[in-house]
Amino acid sequence: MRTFTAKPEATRQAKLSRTTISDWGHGERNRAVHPMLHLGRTIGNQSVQRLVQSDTDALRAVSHNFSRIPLHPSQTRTHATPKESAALHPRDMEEPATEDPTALIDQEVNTAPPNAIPQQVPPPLAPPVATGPTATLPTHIRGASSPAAMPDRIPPRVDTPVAVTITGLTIPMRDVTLSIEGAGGGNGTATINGAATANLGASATVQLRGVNQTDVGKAGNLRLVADHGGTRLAASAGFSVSAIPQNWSVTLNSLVTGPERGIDVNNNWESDSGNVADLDQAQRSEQVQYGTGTGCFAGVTGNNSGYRPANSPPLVDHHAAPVGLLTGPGSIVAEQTFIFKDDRTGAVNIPATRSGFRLTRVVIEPIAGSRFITTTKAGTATSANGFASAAGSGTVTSGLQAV
Amino acid sequence: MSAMKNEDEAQAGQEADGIAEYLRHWPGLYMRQGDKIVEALPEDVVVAKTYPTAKVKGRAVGGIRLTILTKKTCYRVNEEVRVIHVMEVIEPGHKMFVMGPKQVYGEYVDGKLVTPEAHPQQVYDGLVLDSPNVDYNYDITTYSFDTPGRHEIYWQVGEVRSNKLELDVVES
Repeated sequence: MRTFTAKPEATRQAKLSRTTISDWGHGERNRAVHPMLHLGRTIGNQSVQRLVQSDTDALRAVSHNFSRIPLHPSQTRTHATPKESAALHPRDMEEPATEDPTALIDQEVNTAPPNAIPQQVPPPLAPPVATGPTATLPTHIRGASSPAAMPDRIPPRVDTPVAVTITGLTIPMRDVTLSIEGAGGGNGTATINGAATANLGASATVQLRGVNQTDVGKAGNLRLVADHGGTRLAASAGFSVSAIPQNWSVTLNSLVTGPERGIDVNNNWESDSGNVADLDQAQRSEQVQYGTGTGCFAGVTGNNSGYRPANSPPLVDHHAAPVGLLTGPGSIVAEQTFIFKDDRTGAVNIPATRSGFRLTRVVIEPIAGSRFITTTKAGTATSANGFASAAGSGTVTSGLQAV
Repeated sequence: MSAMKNEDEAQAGQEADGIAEYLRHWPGLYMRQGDKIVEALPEDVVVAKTYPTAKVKGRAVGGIRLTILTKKTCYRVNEEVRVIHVMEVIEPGHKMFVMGPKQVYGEYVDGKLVTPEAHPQQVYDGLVLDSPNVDYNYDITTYSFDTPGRHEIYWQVGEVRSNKLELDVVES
């Protein structure tokens, strides 16, 4: 999975600090102990700290390095449930003991033999880079019901799980805060675990839920973002909130009689939001592609319906053949799928999920001059006019109809 | 007289600006490309979208109105003329078979039938809509004229005849 991550500003600062230490080490540490360290060893840390406060240059030279602080598993945050607010934890207000510059000085002092003879040794490897927390978000925020060709979007009313990976977050750091950037103003709105923001102290899967759908012309302006103390750690690509049609089904409306034979079928579908009224900016179109007809059905070609509003199912499909065409035995199979467009996201010609059907007509003539036709429509994984879909649900058949 | 007109408009679902609600929805325009159905050329779509507000339409007969549209009324010799076909049913109670693009039958150019006259017996699979409604899902017919002068095109299905297009063709 491709992800967007952003290094926090603190990382760049840490690199600067490391460079300072390294330069000093090359110039002085290998020949003699820095005068400040001498002081630390002879008059104690308390005095050294006063010197540190009065000598800002020296302070830069001993910049604190987080990477030297041992991290025990017990210090790693384990809570994954979002908190009520982004307020600081009580301990967040305390300076960690290890951030005392003199502690590092003590380390340096204690590792130096009292009577070390200066000698040429390779410079030490640069210490690991001090890093803050990182957050990894999915690049693409997509409801599971989004067909592959659909731009990134989530449906309203239902949850879309989003896995968030957080590393490097230790006590007493603040939580990482997730929010929806760009919400409102017609871009759409969504909640994270039921609220506008969610605070995470560890990796977790959060639930995004679309609330207000994106207005037409404002697609892709929402981003899921992860921030830590004012630093942007990660951001998803833009996404929208929109409902789309899916899961077609058929039921018998009526038998076609009179000058034609066949079936009228109620064509129904769902919204992936659970409410078809949400499909007010979606339209659907049906595609029909015929196989090679035999006998009385030779030479039939495909059709489509053009786009029709998707927020008022069911619509009726007419599957009929004129009696005058049924002059002898024959058969034909037609494949039917549905596509949709969604004006909220600007998506067009998207194959609808589970909208495939197969139409079969068979005319038999068991006795000369006595013909019967059977017309059947059944959910089938298929393709029509280049649009493929998994099987819709339901089967409708006319049974034998006398011609 | 005025009251009767208002009643007719109400029957056709017309709004205050005279455009019926069903005409506000654009279903798209399609054409065949070999054995595929593809979206029509953008310039054809532009022409078709003028239908709701077109001042010249076919006369409704039995609630059915046929209208043909072209991009312009003056063409050069041998320039392609593309004809858009629209069927509108302004009364309730009819079924509209909107699958297509349907072959055009009964089109006349300079008084001569240039397409088959009537629909053959065909199967139909797909959406049917209740009227009042509009159907743009017909093939786009194309012609060119190698002689300058005025040329006429109309489309007739049974008793229903479309508006007559009068095109002036001039030397290049």
